[in-house]
Parts: sequence; C-alpha cells; structure tokens
Amino acid sequence: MMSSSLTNEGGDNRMGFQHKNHQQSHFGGREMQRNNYSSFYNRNNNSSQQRYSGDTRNQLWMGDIDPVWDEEAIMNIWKLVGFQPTNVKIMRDRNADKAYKGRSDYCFVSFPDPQAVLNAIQKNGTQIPDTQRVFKLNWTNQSNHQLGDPGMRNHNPNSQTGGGQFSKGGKPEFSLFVGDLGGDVTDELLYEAFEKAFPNQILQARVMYDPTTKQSKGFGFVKVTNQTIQSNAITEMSGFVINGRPIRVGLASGGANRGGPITSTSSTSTTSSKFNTIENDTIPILQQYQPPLNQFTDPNNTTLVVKGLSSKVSEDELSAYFIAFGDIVLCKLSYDLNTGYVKFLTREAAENAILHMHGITICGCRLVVTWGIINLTTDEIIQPPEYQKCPPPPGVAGKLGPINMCFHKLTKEELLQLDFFRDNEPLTVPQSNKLYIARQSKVHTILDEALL
Amino acid sequence: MNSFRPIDLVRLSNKNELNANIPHERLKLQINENPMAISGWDQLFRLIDDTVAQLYDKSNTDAINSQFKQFIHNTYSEFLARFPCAESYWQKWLVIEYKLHNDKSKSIAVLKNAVDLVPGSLALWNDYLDILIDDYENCATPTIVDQKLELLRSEFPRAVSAVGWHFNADTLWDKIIQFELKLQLQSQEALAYYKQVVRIPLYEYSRYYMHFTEFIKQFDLEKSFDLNIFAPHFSTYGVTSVEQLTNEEKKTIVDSHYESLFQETQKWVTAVWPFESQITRQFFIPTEIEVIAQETSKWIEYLDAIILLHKESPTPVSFDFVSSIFERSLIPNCYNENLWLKYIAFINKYEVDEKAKDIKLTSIFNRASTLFIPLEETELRSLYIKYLSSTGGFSLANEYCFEWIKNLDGSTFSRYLKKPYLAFVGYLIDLWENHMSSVDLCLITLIIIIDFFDKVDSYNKKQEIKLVDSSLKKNSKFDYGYVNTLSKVLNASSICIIVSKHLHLLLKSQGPESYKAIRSFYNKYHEEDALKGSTKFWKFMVEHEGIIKFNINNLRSIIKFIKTKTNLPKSSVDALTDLVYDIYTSNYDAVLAVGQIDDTVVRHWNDVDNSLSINTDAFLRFSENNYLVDDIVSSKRPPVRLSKEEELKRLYKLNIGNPGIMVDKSPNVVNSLIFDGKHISLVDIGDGNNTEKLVPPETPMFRNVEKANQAIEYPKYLNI
Repeated sequence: MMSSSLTNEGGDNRMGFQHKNHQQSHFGGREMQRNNYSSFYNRNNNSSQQRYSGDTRNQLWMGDIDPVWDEEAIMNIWKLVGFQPTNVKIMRDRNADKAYKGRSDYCFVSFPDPQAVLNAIQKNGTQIPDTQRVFKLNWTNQSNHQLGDPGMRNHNPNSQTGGGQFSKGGKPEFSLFVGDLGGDVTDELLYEAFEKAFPNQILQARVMYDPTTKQSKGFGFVKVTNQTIQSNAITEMSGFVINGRPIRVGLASGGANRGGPITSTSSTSTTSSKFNTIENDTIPILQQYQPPLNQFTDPNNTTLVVKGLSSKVSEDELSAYFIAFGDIVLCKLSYDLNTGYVKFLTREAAENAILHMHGITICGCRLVVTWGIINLTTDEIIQPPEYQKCPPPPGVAGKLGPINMCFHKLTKEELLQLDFFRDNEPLTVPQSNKLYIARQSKVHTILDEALL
Repeated sequence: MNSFRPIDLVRLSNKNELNANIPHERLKLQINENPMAISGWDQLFRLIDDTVAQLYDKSNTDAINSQFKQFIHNTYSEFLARFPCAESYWQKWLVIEYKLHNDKSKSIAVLKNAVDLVPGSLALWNDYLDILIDDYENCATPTIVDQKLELLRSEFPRAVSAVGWHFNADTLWDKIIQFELKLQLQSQEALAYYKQVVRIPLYEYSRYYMHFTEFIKQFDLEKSFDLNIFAPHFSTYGVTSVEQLTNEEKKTIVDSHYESLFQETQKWVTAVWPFESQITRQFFIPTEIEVIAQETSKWIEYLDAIILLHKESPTPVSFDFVSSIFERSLIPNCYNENLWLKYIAFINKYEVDEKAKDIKLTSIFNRASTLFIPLEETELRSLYIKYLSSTGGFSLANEYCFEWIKNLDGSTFSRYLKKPYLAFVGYLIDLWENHMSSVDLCLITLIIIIDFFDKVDSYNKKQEIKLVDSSLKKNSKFDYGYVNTLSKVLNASSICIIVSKHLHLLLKSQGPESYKAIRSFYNKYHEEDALKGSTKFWKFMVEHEGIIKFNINNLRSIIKFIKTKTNLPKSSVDALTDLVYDIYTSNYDAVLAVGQIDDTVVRHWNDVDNSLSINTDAFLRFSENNYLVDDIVSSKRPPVRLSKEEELKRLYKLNIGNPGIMVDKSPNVVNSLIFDGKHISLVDIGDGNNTEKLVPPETPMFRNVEKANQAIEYPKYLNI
C-alpha cells in the first residue's frame, strides 16, 4: 500500500492524510471537500512540501479550527495556554469559503524545540480558552520520525525496537513515562527514586511543569540506559511510593506499543492506529482542563472586588465589614463609589471573606464579591492588559495586634512598631495585660468611631 | 483617589453632549469616569495641542471650528476649576486662547479669572500685569488708552497686596516701579511703591534699599515724606516744624529712618532664609502631589517659627508678612484642611481689628470651603458653622448646614457622599442643641423619628406627632420649619444619627425615669432595618442595660439579637460581644445573683471566631442577611424549602475547592455503596467457607464527572 520506508516523503504525506480520513465522523459534510483536497495535495506531493515554509520539524497538526481564526489568532491561543509557537500556517483551500480567505479548518503549528512539541500535544482534547472548541492535535509526519527527542515515537518499523526508544543523533535512548506524581515531586526526587532502584542506569529524570502556573503537571519522563532497564523499571517501579504517592510507570510513547515492546510492526498498523494513539493512549493521564492564570485561579491572589455598593457604603464601613476576617492591606472605593477593592494580607482571610460576604446585604446594598486585581503602586485603578501573577503573601506567624487592622490607615511609624505575637503560646501576665488593654481600647475605638 | 472636590457639586460639562467617536471627546468621556486622575487630563491636553498645531493657521482663525474652540475652553475651565492652583495650566490655556482667537482680550480674561481665583499666585500676577502693560503700550486708540492706564493703576495695588510679600516678588516690584518710572521719572507713584518695598523681606531686599536711597534724592523730602518721620527729631535739632530743618538735616533724618527699617527687614530676611531655601515647590503641580505633601511639614515649621517672631513683637507689618506666607503655603497645599485651619486660627488669634477679622475669616472660610477642601473633609466646614452661630448667624448656620446636606445626599449631586452627609446631619443637630433645651430637642427628634419610621399608618402617626408636638414649648428663636426640612432629607443612615441623639437626650433629660421611655423606644423600633445596622444604637442599648440599669436578662436578649439578627459589621458585633463579656466578668457576683447562669462567658471566644461552624450565632446572622439565600428560600415551596441556614450551608458547599467561585458541578456518587445495612462482615471472610456467599459491593456510580471536568465559568471581571 505504501512504501516501506518512512523516510520517503510521499509516504509521509499520505500517512498524514490517512489519519485525517480517520476523522471523517468529526467533519461530517465536509468530508468530500477534504478528500478532494487530499487528492489534490497528493498530486502535488513534492511541491506541497514547500507550502508550509520554514522548519517542518517540531510541528503539530491542529484540526477543527474555527475558520474565523487567522494565523495570529491561533498564535494567541497558544500563547494563552503558555506556548510560544514559532510559526502557524493555516492551509489554504481554494474550495473553501471565500469569506475566510480560503482558510481550511486545520493548520500546522511550529514550535521552537521538540520538548515544546511534546508539551503542546498534551493539550490534545482540552478546551481552547474562551471558546467551546477543544484542541485537536496530532503529530505531523515530520515531527514523528525525524526527531528523536524524548517523547517522540520512532515509527520506523524496520528499526526493530519497541516503543519508548528514541534516538538522538543515531544513538538510541530509552524513556519511561512516570505518572501520578505528587505536586511536590521535583526532578531530583524523581531521579533519586529511580537511581536507587537502578544504580547508574538513569540518564535523566524530568518532571513536566505547566509553563504558566509553574506547577507540576503530575507526570514526568525518565531516561534509562537500555531496554532491559526500561522494561524492568515498568514492572518494578509501578506503584513505587514517592512522597507518599504511588507512581505509575509506562513506556513514554505508549500507543500501539502498550503492553510490551512489539518487535515488528507493519506499516499499515502504525499508520491506522496513529489517530487513536493521540486520542486515547499517547499520554496516559486524564486530560483535565487547565484554566489560564487569572485573578480567579491565582492561588496567591488576596484581592477582592466588591460590587454593588452604589455609594451607600463608605470606605470605613467597607473595611469594618471586611476587617473581621483578617488584616487588610488596602481598602478603597472606585471613583464612582460603586466598587470596593479590599486586599487582605493572607489568602486565608481573603477566602473567608469571599465566602461569607458574597451575597450579604449591607446598608441596603446587595454585595457581589469576586476575586480582583488592584494596582498598589498608583492611586488609580488600572486594569492591566495581562494578568500578573501575584507574589505569594508573606508568611504570618501569629497575629500583629489584638484585633485585625487596616495597614493603609497606619502611619509609617505605626507600621514599624507592629510586632507579631503568638496567640497560641503562653504569655506573661504583663504581656497578657498589655494585650487585654490594647484590645479594649481598640474595641472602644471601633464602637466610638462607628459612622452610624 | 476618592477625593471629591467642591467642583463636583457643579458639573461643568454635560456628558451627553460628548461624542465617543471623536478622539478628544472620547478622552474627555474617560476623564469623566475619574476626573481626579491627572494622567487622563494630560493626555487630553497633549491631544489638543497636537490638533491645534496641525490645524493652526495664523492668518485664518476660523481654520479651527468654533465647536472645537468651545470644547478647549470648557476643558480648561473645568480642569482649572478642579485644580485652580495649577499655574502652568493657566499659562497653557492663555497661550492656546490667544492662538485660537488671535485676540489678546481672551488671554486677559483668562488671567483676570485666574488672579481672582488664586490671588496668591505670583506667576499669574506677573503674567497678568505683563499682558496688561503690553496691551497698554501697544494701544493706538487715544480714547481707550486712559481707560487702560486706569485699569493698570487699579490692578497694581491689588497685585501688591496679594503677592507683594512673596519672597521672590522682586519681579513684580520691578515691573510696577519700572512702569511708573517710564511714565514719569520723578514719579510719586514709584516713590510710594519704593516706600512699601523697602519694608518687605524680599530675597533681593538690599537692592531695593540701595535704589531707594538714590531715588529719593530727586524729591523734596518734606513733601514726599510723612511728618511722623521728622517729628521725633525736632528736639534733637532744636526746631518746632519741618520747615525749619535744613535739607541736609532732612536727608539725615530720612536716611536714618529708612536705615533702621532696612535693619528690621534684614532681620526678617535672615529669619526666613533657612526656611525659604528649603522649599522647592511654590506652585501646585498636580503630578507632584507626593513631593508637595513632603514639603507640607517644612511649610508648617516655617509658619510656626514666623508666628513665634510675630508673637514676640506684633506689628502690622509682621502680621501681613505671616498672612502672606500662609497664602503662599496654601497654593501648593490648597487641599490641606489642616493648613487652612491653622490659617484661620492665626487670624482669629492675632487679628486685632474685630471687623477686619470677620471679613478675613469669612473670606477664608468661603474660599476654602467652596473651592478647595475635599468634600469628604468636614472639619473646617463644621468650624464655620460654629463660627456663624457664635457670631449671631444662627439661621445662616442652619442654611449653610442644609445646603451641604442637600448637596451631599445624592439628590442634586450625582454621587451620594455618605460620610460628609452624615457629618452635616450631626452638625445640624449639635447646632440645634446649643439653641434649645434638651427636653425640647428630645421631643423634636422624637417627632422626626416617628415621622420617619411610622409611614404606613398615617392617621395614627399624625395623632402621635400631635401629642408630642403639644408638649413642646415653642421657642420663638427657633424656626420650626427646619424640622420639616430635615425630615425630608433624612435617609436610613442619617436617621440612626437622630435616634442616637434622641436616646442620649432621653437619658439626659428624664433622669432616673428615663429607662421606661428608652425601653419602650427599643421595643417599638429595634427591629427596623435601619437600626439593625446602627452600631451607635446597639452600643447605647448595651451600655444602658449593662452598665446603667444592669439588667442581665435584658442585656442577654439584646446581645442575642445583636449576634443573630442585626446587620452590623462583624467587627462591631465582636466589639459589642467583648463589651458584654467585660460587663459580665467584672460583675460576676451580680450576674450569679440573678440566679440564671448562661454560657455568655464560656462562649465568648466562640462568638468572635471567624469560623461559622464554631460561631453559630454569626452563621444565623449571615444567613439572615444573605440575599442569595433569601432569593432561594422564597423561590421554593415546602417541602423542598429549607431553612435559611441550610440554604447558606449549601451555598458555601458550592465554593469547595474553588473559594469565591460557585461551581454547581461537583461529582457525586449516586448509588449507595456498602452502607445502608449492606456491610460486609469481616468475620464472614475470616471464616473462609462463606466467601462464595459474599456479594461484592457495587462499584460506585458517578454523576457530574464530565461536567466537573469542564472549564469553570468565571464571573466576567468588572461586568457584573
């Protein structure tokens, strides 16, 4: 049916289209059109290689794109999920809708390096931010076999090797996929765990991190020296406990090769299983939606936005309602007095406040409390174009005063005098008395200075 | 950021007239969102400059259409009404006005307006006089030349009295004196100005003294100088009148007189120099508010030192000098209420002439109150009310109060400024208190309260009001129309001020029997929504029952109501709980004597806790005040209707895992597992024989797994 060697470019292209035919059910009515195109494309086999310019390695095929999107839009989508593609090429189809400049519904996305490709393809099946669509991704024939970097399958059926073997510069490498890692497992921990079991056989261990949140994705790859170690590790290390969690070990590529190395594969089985691989098996973890980092998802955000004040709540009253949950760094109102901004010192306080205050009626106003952004440096509230990650809140040991306080109302001298005390440690009588008196005076200030 | 200025009471530009498709009008619309942000204004002025530069055609003033001209005019006048002390913007404006109309009179009008609004600005006076002099000198029409000279001569003294004492006023003095000398070499006017300037501690004070000594040589000293200068020296020279003195003698007398004045001036200059040299911001620059704020303390040190000097040897000259420093400091610090108050205190203390004092104080109060002091700050305005009432203007003070209350209550002004509004309601009541007995005011406040709360049953209400009214001894000095006016401007917040005042008056006026009236008041009104949010009301009740009457049963029911039913801030509830705890613990014997023991003391730390599972009273309170819960409860019918607490718990549950974002998609197991009596007995397994009888438990079935894995919908930022 096709040439046996996958280094043949014609064969590659063919393979690329075969998996698309596999997708017929997804495309429904457009099937014919696609077939037309594929035959057209096949005819222009050799010249078509120039159609998407630049380096065709490190590429991914991306399907089911909205015809409205242009190259830039797709580029932005990838940036949104934390990737920096070097190039996006939407394939033009002369039969397609003229309104979209002949854009068809798939494209090729180039990435700077194989590692990025590997990371990117894990987005397959996840939701594209701000849309109803999901990423539909696949290897391109080029990225499949011309690369030998971690995570890339070697499809050469003649190579007589199993899955999980990679070659770099002709030298085979053997990789393992390690899943179910705890969030605190680092490269070093992973390496140590494998190195203990297989001394001097581990070349590299790497945990995958989300580029936007900088948090572990819960899986990683381990490179070992040879195939025996590779297969032994799968059996021996599966269920091994790292930092209190049993890990899962498999071949890095999985796919048709799951369940043990297959010594020979017919070219047809490789190609036909290709789409399935991507759909189901390549990355054996549950694809969970990874939301973009914003004020709602940033675990360090301590700023709340309070809406619906309609100028009936003064700044002091707002802080009086919110201060009970923790020390407030800043509390202010927008110029139109409709919106309040409250920044807490600790995340705990902010979470408590948002839980309790959302939906409360104060002074006849129905509050809506959500996570927000506030610019501390200027007096004006500016909406930054992109969400800036919050620095982690400072570590707080104990309390700063007998009752919570609002820092922006203190003078510099008062701020410098603040000192932590631990409310869970025994105090001396004078300390305790001092604290009691301080609390009493604060209590009386609250009652005397109440606006109403 | 939230400083509203008096200008906000009068909106200069109408928002509706602006067209968002025109770039500069769109910018103006953005500025209207927050007119205190200077960056927006600067952007707009740059755009105006660029547009004008593009369109400008010297020969044709109509190259720029009149609509745009009007827009520029409105923009600048609104900006400068907001920041009147921003000198550089006045200067920008007059240049652009001249460019647009090619008409000097437009620029003159701008500057005249400027010096009227900010009389303390030296730069503006310099510009104003420059342009007037230029206008006079280039005037070719003989009929109006005289008018122009007259105008100049009338503006000179104004300039001198306004900024002549400015430490760097040499530019102004030079301008005036040179103008007079140009008209006439032996100018009497110039001599008069010289006489003034040598007494003023200017940076270039010695230059003027030198000029002066040269200049007077041309004059007949006898005619040009006051008799008072010569008279003390008659005995020295053995004469009885000025005529008998020789010219040489006259010159010696005048010289020595002015030399002593020079030494006096020198003393002042030495005293002020250390301060003057430290102050770098003499002008108000909107972008440098922080630098100005840092220098405020230097100004205050300066003023304190000079006031001390004035106190040691008060003279009219030193008084004028201190006043001028105040005026100058109030240009960069024009929004600083404390400095204005300091100025008022100085005038009040050191101005000897009562009439002049009244004029000066009224002018300062008006200027500060209507142009500068942010609306949120009310101390100076309250002082003005007291000043008015102490100088016999009770009705003026009332009107002033009402004017502010109406300006701030949100009906005329687009924003309701709660804090100053409440402050003025309080000032008004305080004002009344000083003018009538507490019994009368107590009745008046009661009428207002009945009028406010008992809206439904108007017949009964009228009866009740009539009853109270009849017991009121009418005071002829007090206009009872004010009561009606006040009733009309009250809202749910300000009524709390009245209630609090009423209760205190009850306590004060009715002595030991007051508790009956207070308790019946409580029974009648404590469930009113307005009072549920009033810390003052609840504090009064807790103190009344807990400290004055010491009725533990009442105190207990009050604090229970506070903790479970009110709408107070949690910090207030915690404070009141603390107060009750204090009352309990310091009177524990008495509490025990009542016989009933309760858990108030034991539960105290629970009652101030943040966790609602510990602080159960707070949980009740939150469920009582949560409108989401209310909406859910009222939308359901029994039997699915749950209690408010249950609904609130369900709401809280939606936040699990993602605080602040309610997700109604948590996966749950739908089949019952080994529970419900289907336990597998381990004993049976241990037997080893019965294993085949064992039925493995069902595998769990899930619901909402796919939903839970979907993207979370976040609330749209800023669009709720």
